[in-house]
Parts: sequence; C-alpha cells; structure tokens
Amino acid sequence: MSARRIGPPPESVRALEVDGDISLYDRSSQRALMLNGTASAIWRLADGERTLDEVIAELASSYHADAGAIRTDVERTVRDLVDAGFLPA
Amino acid sequence: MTGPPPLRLSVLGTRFVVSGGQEVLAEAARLLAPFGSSDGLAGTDLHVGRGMPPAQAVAELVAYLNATALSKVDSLAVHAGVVARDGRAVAFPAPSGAGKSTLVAACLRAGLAYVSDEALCLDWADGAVHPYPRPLSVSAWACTLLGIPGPEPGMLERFVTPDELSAKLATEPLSLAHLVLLDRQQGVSAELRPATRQEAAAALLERSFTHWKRPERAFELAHHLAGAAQPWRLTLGDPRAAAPLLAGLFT
Repeated sequence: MSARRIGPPPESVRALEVDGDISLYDRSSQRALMLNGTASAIWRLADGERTLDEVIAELASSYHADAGAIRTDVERTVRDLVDAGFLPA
Repeated sequence: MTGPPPLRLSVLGTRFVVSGGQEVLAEAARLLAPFGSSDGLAGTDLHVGRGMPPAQAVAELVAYLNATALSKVDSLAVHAGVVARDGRAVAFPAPSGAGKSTLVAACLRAGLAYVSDEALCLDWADGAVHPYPRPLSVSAWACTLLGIPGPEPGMLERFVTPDELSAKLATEPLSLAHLVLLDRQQGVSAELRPATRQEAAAALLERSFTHWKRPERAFELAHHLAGAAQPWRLTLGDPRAAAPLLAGLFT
C-alpha cells in the first residue's frame, strides 16, 4: 500500500498534448520528454490529490487490467518522471 | 596584380566576402548563385583556394559557409531534406548518411521544387519555411543512381545545382505541409505510411541545430508544426521509387 501522493508537477513544467500523447518541457532544466499513451495516462492522474494506490486503481479500472499486474510498471514510470524532474520527489 | 573581384554572399542572413583564384570563384559563384549579394555590405572575409585543387577549395568553402550560417541563423534550423510544390513543403528530418540528398535529388527529378538538402529553417514566429538552397551534395553512389556525372577523382561527393536536375528553386517562404520520418533499408520496396504527431515533433527537436537558442519556443514550435503538418514514415528503399510517393502527397 502507498499513501504517498503523486504530483503535482513543478510550476516550471509545461505539458502539450498531440493526438492524446503528452510531451513535457521543464523550463528550469530545459529538458523535454515525450510520453507514450500509458505514461500520458499516469501523468494526467499525477495531480497531487491522488495517492499512488489511487492512481493504480484508476488505471486498472480504465484499462480493465489487474491492479497488481500494472503496479510495477506504474511505479517505474512515476519513479522515472520524478528522477527526470517532471514530478516532485 | 589584382585578382578577380570578390564574391559577396548572404547565407541565411550571414554575410561573407570571398576572394580567391579565378577558377575557384567562378565555380563558387555558379554553385552559390542563390546566395549572391550585390548590396556591397561588409561581411566575414574569406580567402579560398590557396594550395589546394579547385574542387577541394570549393568543397571546403561550401562546408564552412554551411556550418557558419547554420550556427548563426535566427530560426529553428533542423537537419532535413526539404522539397516543395505550390508553396507547400515536405521535410524529412534525418542525420547525415540517411539518404536526404539522394532523396531530394530524386524528388527534384519527380518534379518538385528545391528547398534544401541540408536544413529545414523555420521562422521562430510562425513556423514558415525559409528556403536554404545550398548546392546538393551528392555522393558518387547517388550520382550513378541518378545518371549524372560523378565527383572528380579524390572527391567523395559532387555539388549539383537544381538546374542540372531540371528543377526549380523555391524562393518564397513556404508552409510545412508534410513531415516524413525516414527508415533507410536496403532491398525493400519504398512505402509511405502514417506516423504519429509526437514522433514528428520528436524528430524536429532531435535533429535541430538551434533549439538551444530558444528551447521553450523550439518545443512549442515543433509541436505546433507536428500538429499542423501531416506526419508520415517512409521506408526508403530505392530513392527513385520513393520520390513519386512524396510527390503524390501534393496531389
């Protein structure tokens, strides 16, 4: 179980959406990152209101997947976004 | 004793005054005619051709002008081949060796107008495409493929003007209508299929020379253009078979 809240992104991060996929730009680091469809879905839920468990539950419901089966991938994606500075630690 | 008058050039807004021997300047003037400047304004002084064969001197001049102008240009410049028809451009961002110049040459043979075999120069404000018609740099292999004379002995490439390929220059700013991602493969049939807009935006940023000058604007512009243009992926087999597919995008 994880009660840690995910997000919100720093104010320096800008998100653009093209055909459902999100691209991120961080003004402070001047880095850009293109997210695939799954990572984009995680990003949209990383609003600082939801916990990691809630994000996983919502994704499992949306994609008709087992929460346990997607947990590792969601955790990895969140960790990558944090490590790249697009989400707060 | 006085030499021939210097050659004055304006390349993507950077000015050069080139002096040298008669043969080198005459060839440079022929190849670089679209960049000729007659306003007499000062520019970087260059002297070319000392102690080297004319073909090599011209090659070094063109390489220097290209590198210098692209480092100074006030636009989002992307490593790409670009051709056009009726004010609309198709660009294929790709690294060196991906087949840009050969595909551009084949497209000119297929009736498209020349924009550049080197850089897609996008206006920072509105994304308009500014032509950069440097002479095409065509490899010996590509010259053979296209049925045109090859490089001089000792040279790997030959500069080719659009005239030699019976093509016209695009001279006015263009709108970017199509973005094509190249997959170069040997022994396959040329095939064009849709790509995603995000792939197109990524290609523009990955191949940009100048995004570092205005990184956030480059990010915006790449996504704006990827959203406005049609994104494609081209399996590039024989460029002569691929060129009609690109020409067909305009029909």
